[in-house]
Amino acid sequence: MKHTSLYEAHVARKAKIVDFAGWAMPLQYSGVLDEYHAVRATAGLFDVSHMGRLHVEGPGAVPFLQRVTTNDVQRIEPMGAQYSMICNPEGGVKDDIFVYRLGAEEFLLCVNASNLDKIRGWLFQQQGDEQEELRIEDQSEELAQLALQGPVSKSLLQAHVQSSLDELKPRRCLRETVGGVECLITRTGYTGEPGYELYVPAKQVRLVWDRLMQAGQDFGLKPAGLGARDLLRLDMGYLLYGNDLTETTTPIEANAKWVVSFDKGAFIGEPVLKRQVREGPSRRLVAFELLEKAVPRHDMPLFAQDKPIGTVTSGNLSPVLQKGIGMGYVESAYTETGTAFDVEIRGKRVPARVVGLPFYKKPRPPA
Amino acid sequence: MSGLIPEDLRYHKEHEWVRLDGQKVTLGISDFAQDALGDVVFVDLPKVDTEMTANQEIGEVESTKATSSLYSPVSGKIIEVNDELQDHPEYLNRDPYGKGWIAVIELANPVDVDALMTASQYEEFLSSQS
Repeated sequence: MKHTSLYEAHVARKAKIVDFAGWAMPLQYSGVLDEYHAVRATAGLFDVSHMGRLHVEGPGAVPFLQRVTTNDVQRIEPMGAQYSMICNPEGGVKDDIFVYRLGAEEFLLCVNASNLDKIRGWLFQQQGDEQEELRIEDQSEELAQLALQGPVSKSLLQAHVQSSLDELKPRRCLRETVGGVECLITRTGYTGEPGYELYVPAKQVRLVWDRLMQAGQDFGLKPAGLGARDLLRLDMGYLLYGNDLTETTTPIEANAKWVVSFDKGAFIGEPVLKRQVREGPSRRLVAFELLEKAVPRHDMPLFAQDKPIGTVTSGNLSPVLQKGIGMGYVESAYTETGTAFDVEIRGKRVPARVVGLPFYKKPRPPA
Repeated sequence: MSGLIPEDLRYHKEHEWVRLDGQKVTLGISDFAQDALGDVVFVDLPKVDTEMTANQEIGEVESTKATSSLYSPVSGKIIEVNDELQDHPEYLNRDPYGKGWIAVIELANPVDVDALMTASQYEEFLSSQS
């Protein structure tokens, strides 16, 4: 298994290590629920260096990314970020990604760990006429990546940077030094809490990790692992590649039409996606909650009376809602909010109903 | 790590423990099992009066990570279940041999208990598994 630059830090904190896409990653430190609640109440620090980071630069970068991604990169201002997808010609999702625009012709793509090799190969393969004017560089090893997430993230980080973090709006980026280390700080995340991601030179990431952990002691910061991360993202209905998105599901079926731009010109997968929008997809991803206490899991079948209508792609028991929640693809007739169907959990049918996202809506702070 | 393995209990290969008390046993999961499962969020308890044979699946323990089946190490009838686990599944993690008990079973064949591992055998079993 591959180790991130913070592997020793995780072992020193007695993390339970699991294999995630070939990486030895912390599943949990103090416990999944403890870390989950810390992120909802104070803050958590995640090592997400296993993710892939591809740098794309040159006069050909914009036309190239317009063709290989579904969203419109021209709508990203410099030092802005955008959620997007990379599709195959059949409209299936090769990966869901974050695109950071670092300059007029300079981009950083954050891709899923499990898809890095595939996406890097695909991008090289898809270079057309732009090849001469395009440089694609895999920076996954030289850059590490942290996610500082939770309501106290801003106060915690502010003490370590010069710029005012009040000015850093959602999906905006900033170059800063933290403890003398050059970082790209982005206001993004995968938890539904306010927070930041930090792209840091791998060689120096331990300094930044230690400094934040140290500073976080007074804020209730905890190191948080992949277990908490998965529960946090599911509460929000954020998609997980490999579960909710695959090469055979499209962004339209996944209710991610908002990351597809049909007015930017041609892109890979466009004809299929256009047709799906016009005709309506035959199945769609829905969010559901169970009406009895039980835990839906990936791959469990969904039924309307005795008719199989789909499959669970993600599911768990939400710690804040204390309800079984999940997502799954179902036939289009069953996607309306309030629609009832059953999840088959080990041979037993448990009633569920379709709900809107997010599952968890953060209570407004008292005025 | 093998966790705590109290001397006075008997253990099953699926990591349940039983405490013998006359013609009945109390059932739970071992410290090793709760640690491997991680945070328990829901226990699908067996129903009182269920009759079962040894090694039969009688319930489920759901953690934040996965689902794991609960087996009865003995034949008999469920005469009591720990309803407190509905609201406090975390008792399985915090006190697996105490407040985290799962059910009480009236034994059909008291000799079933003799077939289970002793504490030292279970400890050996765990080290052979790792």
